[in-house]
Amino acid sequence: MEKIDRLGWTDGISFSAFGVRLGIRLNDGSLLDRIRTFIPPGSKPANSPVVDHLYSLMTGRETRAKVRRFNLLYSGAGRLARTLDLEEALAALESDLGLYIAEFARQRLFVHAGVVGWQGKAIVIPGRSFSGKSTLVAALLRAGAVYYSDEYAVFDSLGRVHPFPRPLSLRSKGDCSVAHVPSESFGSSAGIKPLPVALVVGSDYAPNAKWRPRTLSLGQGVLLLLNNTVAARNRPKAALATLRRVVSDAKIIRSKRPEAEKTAELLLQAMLATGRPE
Amino acid sequence: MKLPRARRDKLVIENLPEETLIYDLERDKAHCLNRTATWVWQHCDGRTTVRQLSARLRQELHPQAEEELIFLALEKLRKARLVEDTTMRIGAEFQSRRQLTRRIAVIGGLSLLLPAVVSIVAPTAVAAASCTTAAGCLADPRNINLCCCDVSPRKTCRTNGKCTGNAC
Repeated sequence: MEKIDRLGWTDGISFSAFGVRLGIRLNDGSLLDRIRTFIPPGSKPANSPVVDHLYSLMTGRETRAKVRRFNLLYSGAGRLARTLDLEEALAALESDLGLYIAEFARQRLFVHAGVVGWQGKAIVIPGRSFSGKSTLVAALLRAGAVYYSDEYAVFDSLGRVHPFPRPLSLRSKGDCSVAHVPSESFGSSAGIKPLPVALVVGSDYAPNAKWRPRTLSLGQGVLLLLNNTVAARNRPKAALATLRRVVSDAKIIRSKRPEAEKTAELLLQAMLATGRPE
Repeated sequence: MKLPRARRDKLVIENLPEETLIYDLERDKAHCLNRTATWVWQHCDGRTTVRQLSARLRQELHPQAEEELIFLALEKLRKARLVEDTTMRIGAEFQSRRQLTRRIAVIGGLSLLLPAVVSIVAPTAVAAASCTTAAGCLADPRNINLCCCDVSPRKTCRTNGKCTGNAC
């Protein structure tokens, strides 16, 4: 770490996110505005230079012709990226920063899931990459739901889900390219208040699938969420206690799903069946 | 035959109204025990015999419940490593789940008593996270299993769990 400390840092920011204090230092201050967009919603700037974890981004500048300068990204003392493409280094920083906060957040539990609000209650759609969460969230927004997150369901200790409204990451078919689309593009606003969870939906997209929801028990619902919990291994006790509260008043269903628009319609019908809206 | 002793060390236990959630800190596995499995697990004290427990089972859960239900629960608990003696051999009187299911299907309400233990391996932080950018997928080698296939010499995209062959 001492070697990295000596590299000549000119600028940096520190902030606190969900109880984790983080710092990012740079040798190029012009990147600060870009890096501020990586900071998750709900974070606060910190004045203290003491942080729990420090990222260091050394951008490679052209000095002499025919000399390639790599962009280097460090997470603590470990090197995270060494690349000639600055965008790659920035993407790695954004990805790892989000993951670090999700794993070590002290006040919240992060579950990899899409979340929307509907008449004062939340629909949570846990799932791994490529399960079609963001597409389904986008369809629900078009149907009038309120946007909470397409990446993480952020739960407090009472089991309520908080907004984590970053632009939706929508992949184009057939490749890995991702478009970041604000929720307003779908005619939806972002939620403000924490919501109790009314519906937890385990679903994977399958072409021509029929929607045949199977109701799961509360315990199986907890396992469904735990299977997508970032800090499942770090904090299993807190995770189980929080998730138990999340599902306590929720209906939990699982099914292969058809196209997103059709599924969104079916989910909103299921929400009506879960009880009186608040 | 005596019941094995239930494992208590290095477990996180969370009780639900009808089920029990158990996190195994040694193996990073989480289990969900239904009512019958929970009931049997709670009675695994290393002293009580299966015969004694089956009498209690009939008193407390269902008058027509059979001893096989206990053997079936023990087998599931053993596989989940929630009892101390994981090498125990279930007696000859134990029948397969299918045989047992067939038998109890004719007894109303008894199928609800079938013991069930659902297990998952708890994800690592990286496994639970999304790879949201193609650049991030390439830049972070830990993402390879999430959205890229590591096909040398070029990484290629993975869509809906399948390698597409397109370069990321």
